[in-house]
Amino acid sequence: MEIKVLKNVMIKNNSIGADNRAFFREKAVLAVNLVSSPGAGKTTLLESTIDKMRSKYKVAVIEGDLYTSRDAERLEKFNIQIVQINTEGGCHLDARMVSGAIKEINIDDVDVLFIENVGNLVCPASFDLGEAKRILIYSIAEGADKPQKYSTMFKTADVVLINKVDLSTACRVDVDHVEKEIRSINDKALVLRTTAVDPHSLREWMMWLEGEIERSKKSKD
Amino acid sequence: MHEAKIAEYSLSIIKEVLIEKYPLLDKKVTKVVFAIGRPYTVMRDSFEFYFSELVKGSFMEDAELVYEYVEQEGFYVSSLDVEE
Repeated sequence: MEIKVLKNVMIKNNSIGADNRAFFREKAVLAVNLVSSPGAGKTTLLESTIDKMRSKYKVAVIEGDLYTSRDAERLEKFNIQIVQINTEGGCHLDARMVSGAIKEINIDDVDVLFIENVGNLVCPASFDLGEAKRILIYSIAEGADKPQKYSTMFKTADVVLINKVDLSTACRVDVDHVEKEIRSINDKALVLRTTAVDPHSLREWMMWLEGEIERSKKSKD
Repeated sequence: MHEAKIAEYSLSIIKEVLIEKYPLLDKKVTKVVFAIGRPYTVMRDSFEFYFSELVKGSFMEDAELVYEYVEQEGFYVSSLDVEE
């Protein structure tokens, strides 16, 4: 006997993701999902970002990592709430993991929650965590061809930070060309250029982020 | 690697559907049809490996796995064939 099912398998994850999103909205917390390939600079960007905003906003971090807590240890100096998720080899975070991690955070004492995903340009694109915004950090050293090759990740990003732009000459990669490739995949995303060696390069990113935090806070009023 | 999670979700959906009709889960599933939608981010071989591991020794162990490619986004459990 045939039984028709027709159910999207991701409905399990998406349903928990929707619950997470509703919870963040209720608590007026801006949840940001940071995605990238390994070594693109997520944690360094996070260090600079937290350092610039911690006197003004209450920050928490969920750190996704295969096995280690090295990234979380780098952020301990900021004396903020950090929850480590080790996926034990899993290549992405999913909504259920985030839902569990939220329970360990005093969310009433948070304005912005950064979720640092596992470094991977493929799988994290398919898993909604309940974030308000998805930020893709893309190192210039990865070349200009990755937006086409990993298009799902680029399509689903709200912001793309072309990072390590100071390395463009050494890597022989034209930043304008990279930006054009990104825009050919996703013309709605905000595309910015950043590098850890020039704190001024984070100015637009910080302005955008603070604007989103304020919008999130006002939504509760 | 996300195929492992997708295999897990698929099995969970199949169990939910079957339990509604057969609370004792005492019928063998002979075929499962999956629909793979765009973008095709699920590798069949990898998915099948994990799915087969999950159903070993269960009422689904011998089920034939069939795949259809569809235009709509997502990965679906499309239908099941259950022994009479």
